Parts: sequence; structure tokens; C-alpha cells
Amino acid sequence: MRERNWYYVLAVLVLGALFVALVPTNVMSADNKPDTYYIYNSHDVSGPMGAINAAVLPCAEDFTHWFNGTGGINGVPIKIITRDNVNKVDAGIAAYEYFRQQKPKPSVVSISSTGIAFALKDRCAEDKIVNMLCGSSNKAIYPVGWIVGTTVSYTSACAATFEWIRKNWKGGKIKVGFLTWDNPYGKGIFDPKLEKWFAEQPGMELVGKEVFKGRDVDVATQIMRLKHKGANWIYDNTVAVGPAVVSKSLKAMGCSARTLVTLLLVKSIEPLALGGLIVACSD
Amino acid sequence: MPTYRPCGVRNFSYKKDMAIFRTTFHKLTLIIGLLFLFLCPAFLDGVMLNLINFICITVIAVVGLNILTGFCGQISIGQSAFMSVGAYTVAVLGKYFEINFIFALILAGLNTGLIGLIFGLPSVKIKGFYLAMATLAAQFLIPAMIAHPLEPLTEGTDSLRVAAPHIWGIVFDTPQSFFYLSVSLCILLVYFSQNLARTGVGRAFVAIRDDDLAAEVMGINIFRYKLLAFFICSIYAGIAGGLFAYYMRSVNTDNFSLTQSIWYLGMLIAGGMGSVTGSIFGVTFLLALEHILISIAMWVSNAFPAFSTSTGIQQALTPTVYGLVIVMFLIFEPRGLAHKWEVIKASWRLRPFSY
Repeated sequence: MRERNWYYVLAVLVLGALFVALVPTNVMSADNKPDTYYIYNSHDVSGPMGAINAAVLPCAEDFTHWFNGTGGINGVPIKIITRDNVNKVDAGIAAYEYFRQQKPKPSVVSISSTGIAFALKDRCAEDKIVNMLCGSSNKAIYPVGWIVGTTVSYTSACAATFEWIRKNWKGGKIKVGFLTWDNPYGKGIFDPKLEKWFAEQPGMELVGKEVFKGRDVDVATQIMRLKHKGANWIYDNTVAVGPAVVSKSLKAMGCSARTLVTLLLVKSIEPLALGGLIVACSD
Repeated sequence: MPTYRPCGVRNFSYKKDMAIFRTTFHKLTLIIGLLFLFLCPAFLDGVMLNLINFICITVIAVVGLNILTGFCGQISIGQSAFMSVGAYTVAVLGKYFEINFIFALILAGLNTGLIGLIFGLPSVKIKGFYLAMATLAAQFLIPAMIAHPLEPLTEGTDSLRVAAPHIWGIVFDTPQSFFYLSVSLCILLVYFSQNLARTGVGRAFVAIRDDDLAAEVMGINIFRYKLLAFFICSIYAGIAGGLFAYYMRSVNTDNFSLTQSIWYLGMLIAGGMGSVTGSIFGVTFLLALEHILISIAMWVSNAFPAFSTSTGIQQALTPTVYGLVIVMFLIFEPRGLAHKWEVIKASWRLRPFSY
């Protein structure tokens, strides 16, 4: 490529950046109502979590279309602005800064990812911006501040699940083993209150906790350890490829495995609310 | 690439020949540049300042890596892991001892330097890909140590919160205020690195990089200098990690992945290995490009939602273009942005006979 062509590429990039930076985002009309209400949300739509989070984009489009069709908010349409976190905490902070700079300053944003939520905990409180967190780790939410969960917390989902299992399973004492990712998301269920809850439940026992890396493709060792401790139920709250890895390892080990569909319910946690995939592991 | 000097600039002494800033024009542009830089918070918004803060933190890490890889020729793919040592050092010192952030950063640098020395030991016996594998061990060992044996201190894989740094009533808790901290430290460490290249130690590093056997024959203590390179590189990584922790106000082992370490090497290659200016160019170019691509993807996605949904542009644009740019760089400018900068400067000085 000739040297001059490089300058053209550079010029296009700089102009593109300026264009994006200068695009106005919100305009107020004469009756002090904005033309549009903007809802800011940021997820890992690309990267390793893209497989589950990318669905946010068509969902947002469908929801906007439907909601505006019903009249929006007091006749004002909404628009959902989605920004990619690229599975990096610094990109999440950049998204938060971008949202924070908008005029008028948003009251509510939704920036998901447990790690980013931790990093935003103090910032949201200082800026008085509520972060609606999807995928609710107790450690990111409590003590109560400016980060709120929009789904059942990981621990509540787990407890509700085993309440339901106890009512419906006739296989004797439930011995639970946790098998989850070795990251803030996965270890969101490693909560002392949940362990205490298990200890207080009749006919139920938490026998072990095992973790695996997000890129691991086999968890046979962890399952073996849990089985050795007597687990007859394995609770896995991972998403994306995590449940497939657990399921594959169980089948490879010759365990009979039943899979229940993952559900994250916002409202009623009765009679069925599952924080993740559950597989029964019994000989 | 020869360094052309403006007509009439002659060096009458060794000191002048070795000076970083040789002409009045150099010094003037430096002063104006610094003034302009420190006025940035007055006219840049939080988004840009946030980007500059991340660039400064990354520049410190990559300039440190340049000392080890660019100057001394010792490859390392564990820079991100060394950053995690610095980050957790400041977090733990802040949480349990409430140490002032300046001392915490110094201790983070020294602590990381010592850890870096351990992983630098294999460099005495092995080099090239084998050394890369040895430093790769750091990338697995250090996060595992932080997450498991040190869990009572570090809270394991949960994020450890870090208080915003403050001194004399000034709290560096916004992109605007943190800008002064990150830029000042970045300038200081870049200047030290540029100076290092001109000292006997720097020349010993370059001699080892070019031919370690010849360097040893000339009397250079290979063992000492290789370890010194690892030590200095790790100090830089530790300080960068400490700054990262203070800026993020939380640390987590997930923030310091192998991917990050590889990208730091990528930034060094894109900028030009062995050049401090190149390290700055590489980091600035790649981080700014990522930011611009995310912004463009967001804008396109929000302006044309149906098009975005059908093409998946929001998901695909950033990684695709980012990857393509790196490939194009290696094809069209393998010597990096620093070389391109030298070409531009030379053609400017030789105008109208640029060719």
C-alpha cells in the first residue's frame, strides 16, 4: 500500500470517531418533554459471553417496537441504546462513562456482568445512578446501594430450586454438590447464608463445592470428587457452554443425567425457579 | 532508519549528542505538549479522559515489557499476571493497612519486581519460545495463587474492592482527577525508560538482545542483566497494575488474563519493538481503535436496528476489524508505527526531496 493511502485510512478513522462523538443523543421539546426516552444498557454482546448476551439486541428491538406501539411513556417513545462490553471490565467502565456523560444524565442504566458490577459499586453511588443488574450476585448487590438485581439472585434461585426438588423428589436425602465457574459469576452461589440455609434444611445437605475454568472442556475430576463426598445432586449455575461441559462429562462417566431447562424468573420464585442447569447424578 | 536532523544542528559534545531533547524546537514542543496535555480535563469529556487513563496505565505496562522484550530480547507473555501482583498488592495494603497510595504503589512495584525475578530465573538457561513458555507459567501460577492459597487475603475469585487514592484532601475518584495521576506517572516512567536506553545498562540490554554470546565475551554479566531486565519490567507491570486497581476501584483475577498479556505483546509489535515511542503509539492506536470500533458498532446498531440485528454488526464489527488491522499491520508495516513516524519525520525534513 502506498504511503498516501495510509493517511486516507487514518483520516477516515479520525473523521468516523469525530462523527460518532458529535452525534446528538437527546433533544428536549417545548413542553419540556424529551423527544425520546433513552434507555442505556451494556452487555458482553461479543466475546466469550456473546453466545448468550447477543440475544439482547433483537430482544431490545422487538421490545422497543412493541412498547412504542402501546404509546411509550406518556406518549414519548423509548429507544434502547446498547453498547458492547467485549467481556472486559475496562470496556464496561468506558460504557458507564459514556452513559454518564449523556445530557440529561440518565437515572438508570443497565450494565451487566458481575465483575463490572463490583467495579461500578462506588461509582453508581457517587453519581446517584441506579444500575439494573441482570444476573444478580449477592456480593454485587448487598449491602443495598445503587446496584439492584432484575432477576432472582443466584443464591435465592438455588434455594428455591432445592425447595422444589425436596417437594417433588422421592429419592431420599438430597446431597448437593456445587459445580460452577471459578469466577465471580459462578462463585456467586458460594454464599455463607446459602450454606447456612442448607445446614438448617431437613433432608438436605451441601456436601461439596467444586469449580472449573470457563475454558475447561472436561470436569470429570470435579464430579468424581463430589460423588466421593456422596453428592446425588449437582447444582451448576453456569451459562453458555458451562452446562454442556458438565452434561458431557457426566455422560462420559456413565452417570444418568437429567437436564432441567434454565429459567431466570423476575417475579414469582414459586413453584419453579431455576438459577441454572441441574443434573441429577446417581448410579 | 537514519535520524535526519534539521540543517544547522550539530553536536559539539557527547552530552549533546546523547541528549533526548537536542534542539530548542524539541524543548518548546515538549513544553507546549505538556501544557496542552495537562489542560485536557478542561475540554475533554469523561469518555475521552477515561480512555486516556486506560492508555496511560497500559503504556506503563507495555513500556516495561519493551525494556524486557524490545531492549533485552527476552520474550514474556506473563505481563498481565505481573500486573495482577501489583494490583492485589495495593488492594491488600489499602484494605488491611490503609497505606498511603504513593507508598502502596512503590511497594507494589517492588513486590512485583521480586516476583518477576523468580520467573526471570529460567531466562539464564533458556531463550526464545522456551522462555515464552516459562513466562506463560506465571500467567497460570499467579492468578491461581491469588485465587486459592491467598484467598483469605485476596477474597479469591471475588472482586476485592479498593478505595480511591487520595492525598492532601485531593481524591482521585473521577476520570478528570485520576487523569493527573495516571499521566504524571506515565510521563515519569516513560522518561525513565527512554533514559535507561542511553545508559550502560541499556546498552548491555541491547548487546544481549543482539547476541548474548558476543555480549558475554565482551564482559557483560548475562545473568545479572537478564534478571535486571525482568526486575525492571516487573516493576513497571506492578505500578501499572496498582494504578489499574486504583482506577477500577476493584480487582479481580479475571482482569489479568492471558489474552491481555498477548495483546500487550501485540501492542509492542504494532508500535515497533525496541522503541519507547513505538510502545506509546502501539498502545494508543490499538486502545483508541477498540474504543472507536465499539462506538461505531453502537451507533450503527442504534441508528439501524433492523440492519444491525440481521447482520450482527454489533457483535462482529469490533473483533473483525480489530483482527484485520493487526494482520494488515504485519503485512504492510512490520516495523511498526514508530518506523512509520520516523519515515514521516524524515520525509518532512527532506522535503521537497522526500523520495
